[in-house]
Amino acid sequence: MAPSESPPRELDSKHEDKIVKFVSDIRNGKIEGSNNIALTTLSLLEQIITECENATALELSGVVREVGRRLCRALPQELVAANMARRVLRAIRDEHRLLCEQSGGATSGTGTGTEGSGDSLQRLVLAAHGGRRTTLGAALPHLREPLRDHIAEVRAEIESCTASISSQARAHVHAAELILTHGASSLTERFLKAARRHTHYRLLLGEGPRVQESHAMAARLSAAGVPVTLINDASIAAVMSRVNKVVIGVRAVLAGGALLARAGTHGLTIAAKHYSVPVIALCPLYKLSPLHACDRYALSALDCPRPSMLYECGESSRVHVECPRYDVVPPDHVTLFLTNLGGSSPSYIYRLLSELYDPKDHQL
Amino acid sequence: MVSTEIHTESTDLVYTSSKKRRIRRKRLQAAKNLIKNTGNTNKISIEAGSDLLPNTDVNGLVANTKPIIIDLSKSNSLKTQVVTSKQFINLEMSSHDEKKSRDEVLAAREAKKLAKLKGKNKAGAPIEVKKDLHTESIVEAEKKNCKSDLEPKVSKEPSKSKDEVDRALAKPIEIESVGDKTKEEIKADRAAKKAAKQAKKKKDEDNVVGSAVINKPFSDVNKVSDKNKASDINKAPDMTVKDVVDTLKDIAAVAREVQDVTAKVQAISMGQKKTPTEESKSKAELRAERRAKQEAQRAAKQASVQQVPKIEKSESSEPPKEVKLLKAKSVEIAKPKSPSVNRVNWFEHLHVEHDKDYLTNIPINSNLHPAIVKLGVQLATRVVSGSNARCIALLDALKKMIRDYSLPARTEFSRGLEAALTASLQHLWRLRQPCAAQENAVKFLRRHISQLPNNVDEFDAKKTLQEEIDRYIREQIEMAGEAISLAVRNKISNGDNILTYGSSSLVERILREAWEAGVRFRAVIVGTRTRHAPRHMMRRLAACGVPCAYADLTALTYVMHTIDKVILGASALLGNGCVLGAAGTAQTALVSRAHNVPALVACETHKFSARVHTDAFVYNEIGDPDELIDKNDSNSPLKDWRSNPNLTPLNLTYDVTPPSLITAVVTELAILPCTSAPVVLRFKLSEYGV
Amino acid sequence: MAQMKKQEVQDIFLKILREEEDVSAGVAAIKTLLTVIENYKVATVRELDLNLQLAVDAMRNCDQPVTAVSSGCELFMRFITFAKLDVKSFEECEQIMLKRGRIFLDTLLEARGKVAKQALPFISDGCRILTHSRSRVVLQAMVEAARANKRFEVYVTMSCPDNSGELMHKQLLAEGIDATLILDSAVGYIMEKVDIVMVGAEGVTESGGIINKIGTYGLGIAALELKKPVYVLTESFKFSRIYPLNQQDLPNEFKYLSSVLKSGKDLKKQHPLVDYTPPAYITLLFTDLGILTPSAVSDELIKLYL
Repeated sequence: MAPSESPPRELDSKHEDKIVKFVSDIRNGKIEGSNNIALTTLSLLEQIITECENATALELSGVVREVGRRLCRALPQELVAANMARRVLRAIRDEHRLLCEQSGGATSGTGTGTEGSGDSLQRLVLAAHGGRRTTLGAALPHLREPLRDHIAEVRAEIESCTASISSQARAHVHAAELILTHGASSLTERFLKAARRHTHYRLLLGEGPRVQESHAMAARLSAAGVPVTLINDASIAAVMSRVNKVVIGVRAVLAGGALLARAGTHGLTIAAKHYSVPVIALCPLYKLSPLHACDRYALSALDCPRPSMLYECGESSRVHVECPRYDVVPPDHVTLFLTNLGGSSPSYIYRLLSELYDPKDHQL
Repeated sequence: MVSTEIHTESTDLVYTSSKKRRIRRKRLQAAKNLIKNTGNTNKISIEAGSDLLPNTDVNGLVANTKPIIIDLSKSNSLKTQVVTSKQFINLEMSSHDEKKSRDEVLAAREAKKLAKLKGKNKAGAPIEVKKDLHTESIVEAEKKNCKSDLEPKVSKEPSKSKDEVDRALAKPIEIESVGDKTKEEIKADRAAKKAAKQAKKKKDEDNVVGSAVINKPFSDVNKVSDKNKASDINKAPDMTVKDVVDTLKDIAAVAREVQDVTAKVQAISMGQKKTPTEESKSKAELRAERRAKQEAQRAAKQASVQQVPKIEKSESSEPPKEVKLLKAKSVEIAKPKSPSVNRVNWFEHLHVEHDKDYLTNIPINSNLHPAIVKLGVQLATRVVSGSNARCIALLDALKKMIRDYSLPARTEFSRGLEAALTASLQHLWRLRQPCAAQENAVKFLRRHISQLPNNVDEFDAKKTLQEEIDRYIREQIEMAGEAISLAVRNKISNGDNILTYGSSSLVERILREAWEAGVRFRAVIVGTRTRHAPRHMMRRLAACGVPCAYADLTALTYVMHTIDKVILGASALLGNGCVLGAAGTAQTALVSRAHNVPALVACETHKFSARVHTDAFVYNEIGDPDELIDKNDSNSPLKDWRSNPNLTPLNLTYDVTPPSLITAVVTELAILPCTSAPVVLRFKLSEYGV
Repeated sequence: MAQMKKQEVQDIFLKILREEEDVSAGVAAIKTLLTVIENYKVATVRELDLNLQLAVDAMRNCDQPVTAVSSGCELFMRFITFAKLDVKSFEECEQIMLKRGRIFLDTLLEARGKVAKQALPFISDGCRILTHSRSRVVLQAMVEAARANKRFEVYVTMSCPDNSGELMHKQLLAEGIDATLILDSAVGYIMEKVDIVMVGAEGVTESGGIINKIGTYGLGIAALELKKPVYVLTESFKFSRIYPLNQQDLPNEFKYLSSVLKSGKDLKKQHPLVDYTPPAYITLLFTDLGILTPSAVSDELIKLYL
């Protein structure tokens, strides 16, 4: 039975309390921004692991999986939280395997030299007689320490994400270029400010659906010395022919290299593709999600229609206003993903995913 | 003194200065009473010399005021005291009304005097009288010159801050109310003018003399103008905004009062005077007028020269609502280079096109029909927007202009009209660039004007032209719209989801008529935050019963997967097959192509243009950048964008959609592929010559 | 030790194919090889090797689609030879190989179910699917979706010359799925109506493209033009190391039946059975190894073979 199909288990009440508090913090906006959410989720999971009595891999992974499931159900839009749960599960597996190999020697059935953790032709072909997988059942008392170290590494990585992505700005933004960006994104802002330190370029900012945030970002960037031209979404296709590059921040990266981004981004990338303008997506690795874009309704959320049409407008009583929050951008519209590990093309995202998460955990 | 030179020829009387003073004082007293007792206009008018009022013209507000003025200003003493001030004329900015400028010149002189007198606490009564006289002169001026309602305000304060004039513009009610009156007055004036010409040959009266005595009634206005005489046009911060506003209000109020006055005066004087002389101009007066006119034009040139650098250099900004901004503009003049450097470089060639400065400095040019000026304001402030609407409004205004056009002597009708047309159009295009529909309409009209036979009777010519215009509107816009509506209706099936972007009047018509014909579809209107017109269009459609949904442009990709067809409107169809439409049309076409949804463009053939644009930069209009700033948010982070050299909101009006993204263009001739635009142009040229 | 004859191998192979409808050519080939190991006893590894080679050769010459056979057999060979061969006796070695073979076979038989399950979320309610010719994997995926109470429509191409699409159509109708049979030439016409395209594959190439029944390439081109996603459902043993550059570059033995090749007719006048669809036209590959993008296929192959 695959782990994802295992029945839901009961969690300790103190764990439940922590989860409830965490969820309500996010819902009330006390924790904002994917970075913060990722770090807080990690802390939550670390706490739960520390307090868990039975330190076997099986037990721990069961607990973490259950927490991940609860988070998915409570915050379906916060893909980052689910990603962190998957990271921890993967950490558990890795640590367990390492410990097993150290202690058990050749009992591991996967053999040496197999890459990745999921199914592969290699594994298929090289599978030993008998069990093909190490089970997580062996009770290894020293799992917590290495696990905590692993989680600390993950935390350090998340905290350094923004800096490492911004440091790549120099390589991608050149003098006298015209960069187009869409909407407000703190990561993009940092990136552009970092680029400004090295070179003079001009920025076109498309307003996007969140007008006030975009305007504030424009004000801040212009104060930082970047010549900013603010344009309406309607003019994006008009100016696209002059743009050298498009730089966008994303909400999540989906399997296959698709993007989940603010509403309006898909229109922008369609225009960029038409004029063959490269699109650079800035995505720290914790935003990589193994979900597929097959079900548009599961990934989409509707937003308040106020920016489109004020409630006070007479028309608002007679018509239906469509106002999605996110857009799914297909992989062929994106030229480059800039992650904290460097750049990669959309076709390589599967590899990054397989390094981050175990395929059995794709479905929590 | 120039005035004395002018007038002494025609005057028989010679007054001593003391007598002049006495007369003047009397008149001022009378005027003061007139102002104070608004209800007792009769008395005042009688005081003012009703016995001299002729009563011939029924419409003769105009006619009657003139004699009043004439009589009041009989005294030479006043004349002599009115010193022609060249400076004042300069400030008057190309007065279209030679009389008025002269009046004002003289009035200014008087005002100066009054100022001195006031200083000695003497000018109480005289000022009032002058007020009255002056308002009458204003009215006269208005009527005589058939100029726009703006003129008096503008002419009175040529050098005032542009704010005030803009405020005046911003109060359309005020404007229109005065304007309406002036139109009737204009008609009256025309008749009066004709009679005057006839009378001129009869007798020389020193009528005009009196007009010279009209003084500016408002002391503060005079003070201002005095001040402004001395100062440069562009430095007008001495007077406060409030003063000028009050001034304007007063002028308008008094003008209205004077209207009443003159009406009553006329009624009274109906029985009194029988001589048909409404007005007579002496040769000397004409010469004086001409001279004043020249001086005024010289002044205007000077002024415009000074204005032009300011216009070109300043970024298109809303007519400053605060004096502060005006000061900022003065600062900008000093550093002409800096604003444009920080602004959007690649739109520099378009920067000049959008400026509201011209709107505030409408030259007091001769012969601009009020309908034209009104249309200019409407176009510049985007009250009238939309290709068809602008075209119809233009043709309407031209029709009125043609109807009211009076042919000068020894001029061929078509030549004269052509010249007048050019002048009007120049004025209009400076306020807003013409759209293709307007250009084609003008071409059409010019062609018909040039085709008029040489010795055509004026009345016939006018009738022909007006009929042609009506026919153009009927055929090219109305009937074409009907044909297109029918053609597109065949393409809409029951149960379709139709998407449209923006607020095209033609698309609205198509959808409405399709619904009324029984096709059951759903409409999705896509608009942007800054434009309200799509929402209004949606309201009208919803009122007809069409089930509507609204989406912002950012939601376009989300809704597109449910859409069956996209119908777009266009401002023009270019010679290379591209579609020039409202900004956002290209985005809609791109997204619909990405989802394989057919995109139709509905465009009448009169919008086809021979221009070719490859992208949205070759030709565009830069809209008001402040539209991008969120008005509802008082703490908008961008509200001080002007002070930030790195920040520019850019508000484009048009964009260009390449033909590969459009499935078909629906015209009244046929449903065509986009690339067949030059075919239609060729066809139209052969058929209609346009 | 009976000498293995080609004919016998072919008989076994064809027998398996005849008797088990549900089994694809590749799986049947692997079963045949297992049978060969069992029945034809040899003394040395080398002889075993030879036997297996002969068997594979024989199977490739019996007028069955060669693509799946060759890739499956190659993988099988690789699989069994990875057994630890440093045991003493040959019999033990043989036993080990047999056991591994059976494991491999079991894994393969489960593969189809896994693929079908992965494709399930992509078949949404109310969607219209276009499929080409007959593929057991696609059929199983659709059957599972129908059993999960999803309502969808299927358009099946007839796929001349053997009209295998008709069989697919019949099987779909039997499951209660709303299926329509269309002409091969109507693919362009129907493409604007459908939401997704789902095809099987006879082979997956190193480039990430697929080799499938003739007509798949045209389908892929039409789908790309009209921006419809193309999903390929295939088992992992069909991954092969060939890298065709274009249609001409496909090996002839894949395109034409062995009898045609042997008869010496002018190949230019013959109708090929399969064509090659480059990876640019494929959106996703659903395999038992997971949902892969075309670029991930070579990754897998590299990991295995290099």
